[in-house]
Amino acid sequence: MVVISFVVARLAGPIGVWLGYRNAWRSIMKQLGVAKGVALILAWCLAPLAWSASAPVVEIEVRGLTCPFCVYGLSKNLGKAPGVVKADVDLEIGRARLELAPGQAPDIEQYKKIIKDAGFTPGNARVQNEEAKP
Amino acid sequence: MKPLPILLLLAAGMASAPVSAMGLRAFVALPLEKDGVVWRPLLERNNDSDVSQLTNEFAYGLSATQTLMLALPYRVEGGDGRRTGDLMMFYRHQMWADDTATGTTRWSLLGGAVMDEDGRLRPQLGTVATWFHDRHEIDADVIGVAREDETPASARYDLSWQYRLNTCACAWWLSVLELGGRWRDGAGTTQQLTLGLQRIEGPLVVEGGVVRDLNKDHDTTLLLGARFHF
Repeated sequence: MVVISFVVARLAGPIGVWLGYRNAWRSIMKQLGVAKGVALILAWCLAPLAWSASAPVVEIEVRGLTCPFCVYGLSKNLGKAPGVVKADVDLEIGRARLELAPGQAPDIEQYKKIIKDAGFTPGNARVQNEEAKP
Repeated sequence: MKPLPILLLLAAGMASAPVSAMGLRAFVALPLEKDGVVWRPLLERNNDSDVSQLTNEFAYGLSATQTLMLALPYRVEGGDGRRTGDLMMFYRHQMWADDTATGTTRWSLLGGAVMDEDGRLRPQLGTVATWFHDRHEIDADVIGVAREDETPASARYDLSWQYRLNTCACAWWLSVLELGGRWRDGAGTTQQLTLGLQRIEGPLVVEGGVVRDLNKDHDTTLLLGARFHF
């Protein structure tokens, strides 16, 4: 009896420590699990918001446009401007439309210079913010 | 074999239209963007003199108002033994432009030289104007080449009307009607009528036509070409 008591007494400490660690671990995992769940839910909710960050669209009037062959160089050079994702020149309405990368600040003066270097005359410019597509 | 049409075909810059022209044979005052390049191979076939000639033309945009042009004809078959024609070099400078929402009107001066196979240069000078509105384009040019030793002076004029046939958001089709004259000192003037078609889609033009001499020998020349915009 004395021996058993001694052994139990000697082991109680380590066992107690082990139990303590185990309980602490379980507690931490529980909390992490909750945190993970919250993080996942937040990511799921916020992702669409990230996708719908605005991408500027610049429209500039262009005068002197003639045929597709002649304005090909203008479309190409506008598309090469920094931050421009897509550039289209509409001959029918006399306008260049530039879609910029999300967060890209429009550089209207640079776009107008490209139009002048192509031999055409730039007119009024307008900037819109459209939702970027995922 | 008729020597005069062959000489005319080989005289660079006289029979071949410059690459920046949107008419088949007329010069044009429309812009080529800075650092833009256009290449135009043009095949001409004269059945009456049995001569076929391929002319490679190049244009480079120095700036929005300045363009350099080069043309080198090469006789593919027929003729008197000469294969390579005279190299033509042109500098076009836009002097005036009026751009609107529906088109443009421009006027340019042309200056350059024709270099024969012996390296002799003959200066040439001219002027070109273009009016473009909605579906119509009219180009007019006059160019003269100086006399050099035994090579007589020559000159040309062209009046070209191109009309867009379709209005869809697709490849453009244009009809081409041109009146031109080719004068050579001592040989008089040959008046020519040209009918043609052009298909324009983005950076590519495919075109063809028929040139008929209205006087002199009444020769007929077939044209087939393409333009590539880089």
